[in-house]
Amino acid sequence: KKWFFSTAAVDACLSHGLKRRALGLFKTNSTTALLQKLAKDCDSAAVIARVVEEIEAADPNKRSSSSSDSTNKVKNPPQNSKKTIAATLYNPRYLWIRLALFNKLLAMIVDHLVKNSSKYYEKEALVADPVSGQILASLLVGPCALDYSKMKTQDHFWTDPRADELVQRHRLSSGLPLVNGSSTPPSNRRPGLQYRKDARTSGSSESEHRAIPYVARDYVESLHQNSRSTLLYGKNNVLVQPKFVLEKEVTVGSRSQKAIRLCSDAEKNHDWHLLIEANGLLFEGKAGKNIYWEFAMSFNVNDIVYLHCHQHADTGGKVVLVGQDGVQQPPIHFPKGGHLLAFLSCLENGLLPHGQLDPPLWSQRGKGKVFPKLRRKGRGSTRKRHQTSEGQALEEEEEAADYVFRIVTSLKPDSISQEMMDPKTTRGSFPWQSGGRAARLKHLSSSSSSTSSSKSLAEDNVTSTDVPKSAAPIPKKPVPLPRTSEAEESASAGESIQVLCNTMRRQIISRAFYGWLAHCRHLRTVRTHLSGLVNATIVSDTEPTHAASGLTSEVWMTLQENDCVKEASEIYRLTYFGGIEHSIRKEVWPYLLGHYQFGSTAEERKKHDNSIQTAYETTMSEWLAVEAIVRQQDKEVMEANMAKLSSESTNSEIPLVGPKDANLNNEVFEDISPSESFEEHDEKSDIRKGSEEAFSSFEEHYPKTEGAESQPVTLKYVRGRLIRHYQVDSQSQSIIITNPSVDINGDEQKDENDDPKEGDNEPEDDVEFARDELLPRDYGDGDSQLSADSRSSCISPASSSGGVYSMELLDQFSLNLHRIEKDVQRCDRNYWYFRVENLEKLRNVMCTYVWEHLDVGYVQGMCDLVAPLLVIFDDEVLTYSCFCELMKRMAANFPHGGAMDAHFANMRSLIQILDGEMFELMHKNGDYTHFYFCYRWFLLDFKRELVYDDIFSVWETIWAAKPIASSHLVLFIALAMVEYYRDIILENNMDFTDIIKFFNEMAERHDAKAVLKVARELVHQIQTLIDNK
Amino acid sequence: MAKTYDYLFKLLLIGDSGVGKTCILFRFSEDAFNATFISTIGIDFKIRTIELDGKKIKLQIWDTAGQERFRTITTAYYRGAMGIMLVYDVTNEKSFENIKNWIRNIEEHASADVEKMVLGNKCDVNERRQVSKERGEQLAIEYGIKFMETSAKASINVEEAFFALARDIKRKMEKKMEATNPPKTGSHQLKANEPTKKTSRWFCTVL
Repeated sequence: KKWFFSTAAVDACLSHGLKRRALGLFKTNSTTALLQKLAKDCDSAAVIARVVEEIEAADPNKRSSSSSDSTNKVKNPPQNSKKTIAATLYNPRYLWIRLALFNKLLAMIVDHLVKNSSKYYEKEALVADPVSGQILASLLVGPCALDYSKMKTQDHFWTDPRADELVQRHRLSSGLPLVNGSSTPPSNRRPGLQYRKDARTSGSSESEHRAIPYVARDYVESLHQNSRSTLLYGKNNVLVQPKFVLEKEVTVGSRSQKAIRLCSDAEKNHDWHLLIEANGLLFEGKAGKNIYWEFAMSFNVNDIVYLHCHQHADTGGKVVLVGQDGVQQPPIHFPKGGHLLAFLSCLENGLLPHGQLDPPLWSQRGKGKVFPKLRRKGRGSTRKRHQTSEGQALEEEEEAADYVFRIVTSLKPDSISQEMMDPKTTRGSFPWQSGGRAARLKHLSSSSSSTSSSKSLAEDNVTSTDVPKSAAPIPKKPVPLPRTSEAEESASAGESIQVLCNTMRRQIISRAFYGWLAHCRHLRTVRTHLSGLVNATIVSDTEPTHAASGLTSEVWMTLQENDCVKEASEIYRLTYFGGIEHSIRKEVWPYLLGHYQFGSTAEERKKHDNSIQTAYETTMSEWLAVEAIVRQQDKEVMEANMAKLSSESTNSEIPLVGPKDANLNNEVFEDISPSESFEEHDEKSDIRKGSEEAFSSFEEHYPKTEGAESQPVTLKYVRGRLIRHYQVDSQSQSIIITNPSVDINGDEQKDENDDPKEGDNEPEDDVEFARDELLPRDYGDGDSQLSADSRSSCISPASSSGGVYSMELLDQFSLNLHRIEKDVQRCDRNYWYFRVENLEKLRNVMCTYVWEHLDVGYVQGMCDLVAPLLVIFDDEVLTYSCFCELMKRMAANFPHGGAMDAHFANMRSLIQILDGEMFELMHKNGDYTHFYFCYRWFLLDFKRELVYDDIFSVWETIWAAKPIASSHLVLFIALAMVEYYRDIILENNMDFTDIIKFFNEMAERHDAKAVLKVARELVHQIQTLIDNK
Repeated sequence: MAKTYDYLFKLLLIGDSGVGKTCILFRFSEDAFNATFISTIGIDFKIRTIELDGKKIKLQIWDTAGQERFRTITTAYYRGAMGIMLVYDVTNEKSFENIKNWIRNIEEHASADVEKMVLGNKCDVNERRQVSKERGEQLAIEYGIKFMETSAKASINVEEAFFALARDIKRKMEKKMEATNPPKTGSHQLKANEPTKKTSRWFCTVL
């Protein structure tokens, strides 16, 4: 707020000793007018004046700002959608100074003023002072040199908060720890019935909410301009704490000044409204209008039951209105000086003849209305003084007293609904109208033409003229209806009560019917969309035993008879509700995943294990053979590339820019200047050296190479061969077998296995031997045939025989192998288990699976699914088998599997039905009901979202859920994840990017127990919904 | 959330799996390197606000899964992108060859005027280099896009690359805004930034 004070100070300096009269500025003490004068002969001032004009023109309601010196501080109200409170004061009085400061022109303007001080200022003025004036001008030079474009406001401290910060904030604001489903798990809410409707109506109710301000404005305008409506009381500078501010965290400075108007609408004569308007400037633009009208409040006096009046001798008084529902309205603060009393008396008059204040105000000669003097229990000692001082107005005023008034409406039925009533009762409401009219005449006959910006409803209007007049009749009872006798009235009242009862009955019945109808429709939607997602029978978590403690090792032991596990359903149930004790996971998981059958004997299981083991080893031997070829190929390709790289550096005309020269960035290639070619030599030698190093390291990798021949020879040989290979490779892609010693031609198949170069007599390259051994000798022509006969014949990788691998197959496997290795290398390396030797296991399992599913191949994410299994089993074969079982369900989630879209669609229906509000938010904020942010959740069964211990329990719950509750538990877990952070998502009005960011940052920080609990509850909820006929 | 920037640019990192997209992003957003990164599944993004010519530019950089199997998902993000970084690995010939495929992919799915840039990552690993800088440059000339060799590990050129791309986008956008004087043209590129809104807020919020 530094700038606020400095601008104010400049304003004060410039105002000092200003020749107002001479300049025609006597109406105002603002210096804005001075600026306008200055604009004529100072260019800088003209610039600023123009900007100020533009700003003011943009906001018509602010046009008087330069001439009015009311303290027009309007607070930007907190917007519901944002958490930020733009508590920025906006004072138009100093607007030009601030603008000039930001435009760096203030110093020039002030300098101009100082130089021409005689024209604008009195002699004794500060600006005219030969010393002070100069100082002022030069002081401002500094601030004007600064750049204010990057000024920090509260907003600037706000950047996108991190996920944990959001969670933290939520904890603080809700005052609850975010555990055990405190973030409103849906189970707390009423299931069904309204959800569907909510989804539809919440949008419209919101637009209604937005529309209220406009309605209010129209209403006020109609009151002001329509002669049929009555304005009873008007008062500016009343303070009201806006209602919605109370809901926000920060209420500092939230009071704003209002005008209060007590209005009645003659057309609907039973509607008495207390309108509280913001009395202040509007912000420019559309948004400003919204803000303004949100400050307008309207109360129907019929809804108000109590008025609490609190008087303070020094600060005036305040009135708190309490509605029928017991809700307190924000207090209305009245300035000192009897305004509270005036308001009350006007209200009392306005209520007549059918309503009144209880206790009524007392009238007093020469003074108008006074507060009634009441006997209070707790103040017995002062009571006497009260009585003695009765009539002495002075002492009465000194008394700071609190009062509670009740608004008694004697003819309530009148106000319920006019069209329901018969003509008699309609006639019965006439007195109201006449009463209202009388009141209007009495009170404010002159104010019907008042406009919102004027102050015609000023306080004196009320206090001086109205109060004495209205003071005369103070009926304690409702005025009898003039046109009907007492008897008629009671008869019509009885009749109207009868009608009322009938109407109410009809309404209740129709409401009940519509509620039932909505419920039925909702149920139908649920049944059609969701019935497939959950199992029909609800399994209890307490019958036969309490399942919350899960499957412990003791229970597991008791469930085994003769090494045979029979009670499948009980194991599923215990696992679903309570999880499995970690130590027995290794034993139980194979059952859950389907590797072992429940009820199988130990022998059967052993047999099964053995067959799997054999199959695994066979498959492994197959792909290991291919792997060797691929490795060799890779080496050749790599060597070729390196050779190419070095040959490029020697032969190519393109001047080489060394790879180490990082400073030469992209601009280089646009114009390769000859001046760079002098660097060539160094770089060339660098590269050559680099490639030679690579070759020597290559040799080292294969230590079997005997030191028989000298390194240069090998190098030369290899390089020559590689270049040849490269050339051939660029011509034809159809060949496979890359026996490097064999000349490669464009043949479809390699059939020169007996090539003379191959064999033991080729000492140069012993890698070749190794590969040669692995090289299949029998030539098949398809991989199906290959796997068929290889599986039958061989086990050991080394003795693998098979057909010629087609180029296609090799390419395919090579691609997959590289991917697998890349992902294995970076799979959960921070977890203790994945050290180098265990990575090898992971790789083997992965490769074996992929070799058998080469049509699908390796897809990123598969490693993530193997990893937890491997951690539990620490056994390649068992992991492999269980992974195969797992993939039966999971494979469809991977791209082109189709299950992912089904998941998203199911999520959509679920959230639409179970949480309409959330769905609405998702739909509204750029529509992310495609649920892409759940992609990783479904692909990996939440593996990336949770820490390892939680993955285990979530996974086993998912597996056990299939027979117990739902084969789609993942959906409910996903839903639980969203619901768990529901309030944070709603509070922050998250859009797609926000939610992606939030969940990516929350990965591995979720409370899996709580989420699972919510998920199970959701399943149960859907089950009961469907079950509930 | 409050706007703390003048422009919001949506960038996309694509390239074969394992070329170091996530590492580049991590280097740029956190200025750190982590060799044990896991493969990217689905999609993630990081944010960094930079300053260019006195303008605050929020870069929202989307990191995608490299494997082409995931392209159906990742191409959904092409549309909103204003700049695309094509990353290959200088120690992996294949990833370099695939750049052409990636460019074709962009042409199919991204908006026509998206800014592109090719990055040859892992340029610190010279002993295993398979793709020379010249080849990268030639490819870039061929397609008329900028090129840099980077290293997320050694922090070479990562910063420069993103700044260069952001500068190009900014230039293009400002040119476009000059051409169409009313700044809102409904194009997705202009939708993201709200200069008009910003100036009007300025008077309300300052002080």
